[in-house]
Amino acid sequence: MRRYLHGLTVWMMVGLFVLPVVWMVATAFKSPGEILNAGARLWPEQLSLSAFERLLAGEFPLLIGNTLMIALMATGLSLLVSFFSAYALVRYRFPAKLDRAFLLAVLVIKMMPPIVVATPLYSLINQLGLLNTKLGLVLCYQVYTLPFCIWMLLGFIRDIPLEIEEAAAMDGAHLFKRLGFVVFPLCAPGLVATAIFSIILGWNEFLFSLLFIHTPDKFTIPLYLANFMTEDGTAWGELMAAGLVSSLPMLALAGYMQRFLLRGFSLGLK
Amino acid sequence: MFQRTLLVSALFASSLSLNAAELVIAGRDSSYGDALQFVVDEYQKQQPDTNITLVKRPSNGLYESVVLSMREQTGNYDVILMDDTWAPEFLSNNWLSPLSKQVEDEDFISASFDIGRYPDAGSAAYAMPMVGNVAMFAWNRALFEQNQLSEPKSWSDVLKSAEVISQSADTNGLVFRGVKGNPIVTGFLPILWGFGADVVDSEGQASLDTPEAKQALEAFLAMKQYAPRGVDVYNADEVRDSLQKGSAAMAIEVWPAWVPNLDNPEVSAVVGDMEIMAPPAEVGQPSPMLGIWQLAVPADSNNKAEAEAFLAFATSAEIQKALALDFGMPPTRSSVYHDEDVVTKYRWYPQQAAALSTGKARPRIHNWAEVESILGDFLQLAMMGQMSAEQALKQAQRRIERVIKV
Repeated sequence: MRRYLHGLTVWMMVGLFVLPVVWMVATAFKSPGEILNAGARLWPEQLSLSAFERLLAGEFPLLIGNTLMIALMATGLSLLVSFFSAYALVRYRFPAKLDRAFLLAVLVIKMMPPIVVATPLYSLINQLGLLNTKLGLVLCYQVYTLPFCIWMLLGFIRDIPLEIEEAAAMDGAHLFKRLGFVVFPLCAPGLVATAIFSIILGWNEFLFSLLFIHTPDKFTIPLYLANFMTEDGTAWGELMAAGLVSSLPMLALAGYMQRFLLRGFSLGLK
Repeated sequence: MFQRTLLVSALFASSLSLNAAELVIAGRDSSYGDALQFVVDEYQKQQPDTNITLVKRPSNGLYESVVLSMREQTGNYDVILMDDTWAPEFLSNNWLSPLSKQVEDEDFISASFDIGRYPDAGSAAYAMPMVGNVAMFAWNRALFEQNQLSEPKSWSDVLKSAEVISQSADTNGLVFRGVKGNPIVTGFLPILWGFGADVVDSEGQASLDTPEAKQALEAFLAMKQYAPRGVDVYNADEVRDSLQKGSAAMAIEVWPAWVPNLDNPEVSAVVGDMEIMAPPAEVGQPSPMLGIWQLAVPADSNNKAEAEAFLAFATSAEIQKALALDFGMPPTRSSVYHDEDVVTKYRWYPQQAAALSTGKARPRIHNWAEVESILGDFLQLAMMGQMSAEQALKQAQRRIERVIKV
């Protein structure tokens, strides 16, 4: 009985998480008329590709490219900076507990509502002449991604035994060699996991792209999706089709990178 | 009409003398975005040398985006679409550029045009009215006649009619937007004004803790029993659907963009049954709420002359007529409201023009957005039964007083 209840609970939880995704997929394939009149019916009576046709006829493919490029660049920059930062924070002793103060400050920035930092960031980016540019947005996204990456990598680097590095040092490896040939491979699974989450953060970011981008050809996907939910109503078909299509690159990327993640764990490197 | 054509032509001619310009317009999404896109396309047919970029934003995003841009003087935008409640903040910060006398025209319904003047109704205009939104009241004449009821003249009549209809038919007496924030406040304001109360008085001080305001809120709360279940989370979609399906006999607040399909047999079950009029009043005259969307030129724009020419074009009678017929955008010019083609399509336009003429703007205070948010929170708490009308108003009063003092 207990086993049966356990199974039922598990399936109910799975259903809870999967149902919105199923609803998104089903709605994306309904015709506009059926969306309005479907009532509680989940699956479309007749598969319709009209929402996808309308979507792909517009600037959607371009926006996918924009979003992917910005999310990857923001993640690349964050990983680079956070890798060195996390290493320094783990391996070096700072006077007056400055390392802890720094980590706390980073955490506070991450916890702040983004709108609080939006105004000073806007001013800064404007003075740098980077408003309405992808590079400007990549720099702004560091507010989200950098603290996250530092905190994630901190744990992974902390788990690398110091003795391995000391052995490399005794063999004559200087700091950058140790970082490149010892620390980096050992925390590769951590870097991959961090990269996946960081890309997702960048992919879903809305506020900064809303405020810092003002020409439609540089828009990102979340900005585009927001236009389907208006005061006059919600274009459910297009919204769900856009949601479905825009989640595919992330799913593919996560799936591809997961192989490396699993390989890293299975090799027992960590 | 000839004079207006001349005026628009003169503004074009003056802009022609300039080099090819590039205009960036900050606009809204939804039907406003479609309408602005139409205006841009028409303008570019006449001004092929002008490159125009139209940026469509959700309403809140538009506000944040233009405020940041104007505060930092980036010159990003040459034309902005703005809600009339944003004007006090924009104008007191000198973020908008004054418009020339040339753009003024007696054809504009004065309540809609004067809202763009600063600091008072006799001063220079800083914005031109593009969308003549005014909150109206909708009632189903067929249902009223079935129940031997007559047109509601006061909010008390509305309550009595709702009670009768709810008892006798399988229909809700009324419907409104109960979502907290702007929707619930917008629904409540005509009732508040209709009882002779206001959010702030003529001195700009909070004035919600009054017997009139309490009566108004009690009337509003009493309406919930005749509204559909779950009305607390109703927004524009649900109100419009309830009216079109005939499942609600009255809507205490409808906006022009919601009603064009009421007479469309493809989507409406109440073709010819609905009447649209100014909201009732309990004391004095009705006070329909204005929600004018204006076009303005930021002070940091680098293309002011071209931008002003665009404003004149976008608000011309010809364009307003096309926007009304094709996009359901309510005009701001008297001639368009009485145009034969337009009235044939929208039979309630004469009443809407009258409502616009006597319309009342939301309080012209610097931080209306915050005040609206506070009031919206307490209105919903009262609507959910978590506090009485008196408690909600007293607490809202205290919070609003603090915000106004800042």
